[in-house]
Amino acid sequence: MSREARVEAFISAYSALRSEIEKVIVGHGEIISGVLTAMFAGGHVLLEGVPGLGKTLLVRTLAESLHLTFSRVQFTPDLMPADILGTNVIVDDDGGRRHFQFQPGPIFAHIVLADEVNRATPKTQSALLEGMQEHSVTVAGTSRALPRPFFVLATQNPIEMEGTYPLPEAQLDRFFFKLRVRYPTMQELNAIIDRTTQVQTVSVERVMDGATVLGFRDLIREVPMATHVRDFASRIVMATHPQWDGAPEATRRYVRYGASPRAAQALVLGANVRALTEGRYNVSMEDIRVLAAPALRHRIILNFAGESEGIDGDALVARVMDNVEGATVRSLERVAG
Amino acid sequence: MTGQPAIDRVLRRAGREIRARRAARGAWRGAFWGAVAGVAAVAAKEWLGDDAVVLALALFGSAIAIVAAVGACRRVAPLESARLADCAYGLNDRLATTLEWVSRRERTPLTEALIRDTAEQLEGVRARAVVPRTSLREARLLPIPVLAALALVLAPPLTQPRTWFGEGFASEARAREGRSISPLEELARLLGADFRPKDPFAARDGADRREAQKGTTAAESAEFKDRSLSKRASDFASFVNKGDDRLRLLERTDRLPDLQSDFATSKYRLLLRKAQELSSAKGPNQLSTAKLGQILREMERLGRRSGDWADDAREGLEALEEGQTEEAMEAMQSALGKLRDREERQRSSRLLRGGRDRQQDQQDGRGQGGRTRNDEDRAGSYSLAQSRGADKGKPSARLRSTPYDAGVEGQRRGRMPALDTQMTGRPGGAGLQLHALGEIGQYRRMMEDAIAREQVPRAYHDQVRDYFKSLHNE
Repeated sequence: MSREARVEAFISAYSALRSEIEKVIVGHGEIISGVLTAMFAGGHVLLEGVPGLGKTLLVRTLAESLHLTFSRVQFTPDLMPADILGTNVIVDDDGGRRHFQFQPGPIFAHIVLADEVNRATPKTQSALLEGMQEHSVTVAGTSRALPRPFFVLATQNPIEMEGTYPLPEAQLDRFFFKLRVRYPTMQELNAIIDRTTQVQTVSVERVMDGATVLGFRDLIREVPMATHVRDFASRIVMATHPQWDGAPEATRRYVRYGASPRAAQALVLGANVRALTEGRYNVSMEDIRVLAAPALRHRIILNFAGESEGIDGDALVARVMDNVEGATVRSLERVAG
Repeated sequence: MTGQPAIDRVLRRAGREIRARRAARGAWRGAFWGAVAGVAAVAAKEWLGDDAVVLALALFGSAIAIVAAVGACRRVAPLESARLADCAYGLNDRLATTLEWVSRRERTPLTEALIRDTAEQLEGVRARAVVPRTSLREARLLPIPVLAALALVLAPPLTQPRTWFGEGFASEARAREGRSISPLEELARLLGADFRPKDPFAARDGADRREAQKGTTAAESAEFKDRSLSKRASDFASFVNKGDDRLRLLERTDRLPDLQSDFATSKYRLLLRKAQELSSAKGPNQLSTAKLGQILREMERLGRRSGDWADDAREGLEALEEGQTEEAMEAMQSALGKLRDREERQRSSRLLRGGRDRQQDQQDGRGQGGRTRNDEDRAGSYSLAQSRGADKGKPSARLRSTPYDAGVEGQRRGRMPALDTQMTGRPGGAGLQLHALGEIGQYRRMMEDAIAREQVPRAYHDQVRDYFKSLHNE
């Protein structure tokens, strides 16, 4: 199959998967795009939103649309790491002999839904860390590989803070994107009511398997990117660092730590996926611009001034983008004399 | 280029357009700055005459031509053309990415697809301006210098100032200052000392005090008049570090001041200055008879002691009492001339050691250690000074012989160039008197140390030693 045919196949598969999800999920187009982009780029997604907006339903629908195993873990304060990773249990074999046998936990699935991940203790939260980054877990001294593709979708509630354990920065950095699920519009709400309060069954078809997803992951890494587009992504990430010379005033005032190199990787890989889904064979600055907020908003750590003034991560990213884009436009104007 | 006709065609077109736009912008900039230069030329038409307008037009035209040519000739990078074309045609960086990846040796498998896709996109692109048209600031501001130049052409020539500002300021500063820098001021400036004009009365009191102090020491011994030296640690290192200028000054021994007397604050000099101020009054109505009488009385008093102008001053006083101001002024001028002659004689003696006292002694035929007339005068002016008829002898011996004087014995401690001064003697009612000899001895030892450590340039060793030798009363 030629490359162009593969790209065509990717675009059609992506569209099919998206339409299957949209059969169930009303609206949330950006969220669906972000989830699918992260999945094809090989990352994990943190979904943040108040209860009842369809976060869990979205993930369940995605799992149903794919020929992949799915597990859901409801995080609670008494959840232990072994409840996620699995443990060794004593079993009797046919000969009556007893031996330890590993009982895999729910993390051993292609798609893992970590529901309300901020309700578990940091110890349990950190049990996800190795799996998310290394695609393997270590239980009783034995490292066990997770199935591929491995895709974690975690949800958290931003308003209920009592009895929760905010995710540490190290774990937040493992998430490829942080997507904010917002309230539906009036039309979307009407459509939700129509779909969910009447007797009609929506059947979701499985349109893709794991091997296809892995094949597409290889494909998106072949998308060419120009140097100035890569520089644009790097400048955005660097502009979130208050120590950088070219950092905007907002960054210097409100940011304690800027985004990590993982942010730049997420920007570029996500831009690759978006370029293909837009029918292009190259990454453009527009792809970077669109994905800057989901890739950066959870990787910027505010200082005391930022926290006390209630600075929003998205607003901060917007200011950073304005600054970097302004510099790019000025450089082009200089070219024109 | 890429080998794709559509891509190459767009790149060439974009390059041409960028050059043309650069030339146009350069022309606007050149027009503005040329017009500014033209305004300057027209403003100087009093000097340039009819050539001013021609020169202004030439500047205007040549600036346009030069800057436009520079803009048109500047190299346009293909990648820059591609980026501008991407923006103009909405190609989402296709052209720039294609151009960049075509030239790479290691291409991704999707590069060929990218080239074909870019060529297809360009086929459907309608040609339009690559560089957006924006109004330049120089173009908006151009009417200002042009109108100014036209107004200057029509207006009569501007009159040029007769003198330059710099000269005026300099002459004003000289007039305000009204005096040249004396060697003592120069030395004080180099030493970083505060050399501001002192209050005349305070200066006179200080001079009296110093003269009284001088009476208690050996006649020819050099003396430090700043008693605060005894309260602070000696800092010879700074003298050595900053000493280059001062050492250079030492080479000009003819300009060295007499360290034994402070000419800036001597009563003679004060009197001279006051008399000059008075005589520079513009008219007789502005003349203060009280001030004139005060000066004449002071002149008469000083003349009785050590000058030949007392008679003139006395005549002036008599004339003033009779109301003859002009005669009094003439008498004061005469006395002033004699006083000036005396000052000049003393200044030209050029003797560092002993100064005018030594010269005076030689004139009076007295040797070292003899009492001078000034000593007698000082004896009455400072009650604390003990006048002794006998020769005071060498200072070091005298310091140890009399319990009423206090000496300073320096002892070097640690590595820092500082001295702990240990006071000896009894602090009687006469107060503590510090003798310069001890200080000079300390400085001399430190000077030797500094020379030993080679902090002083070798060429200056002898001069520095000679200087300290001259200070020390051998």
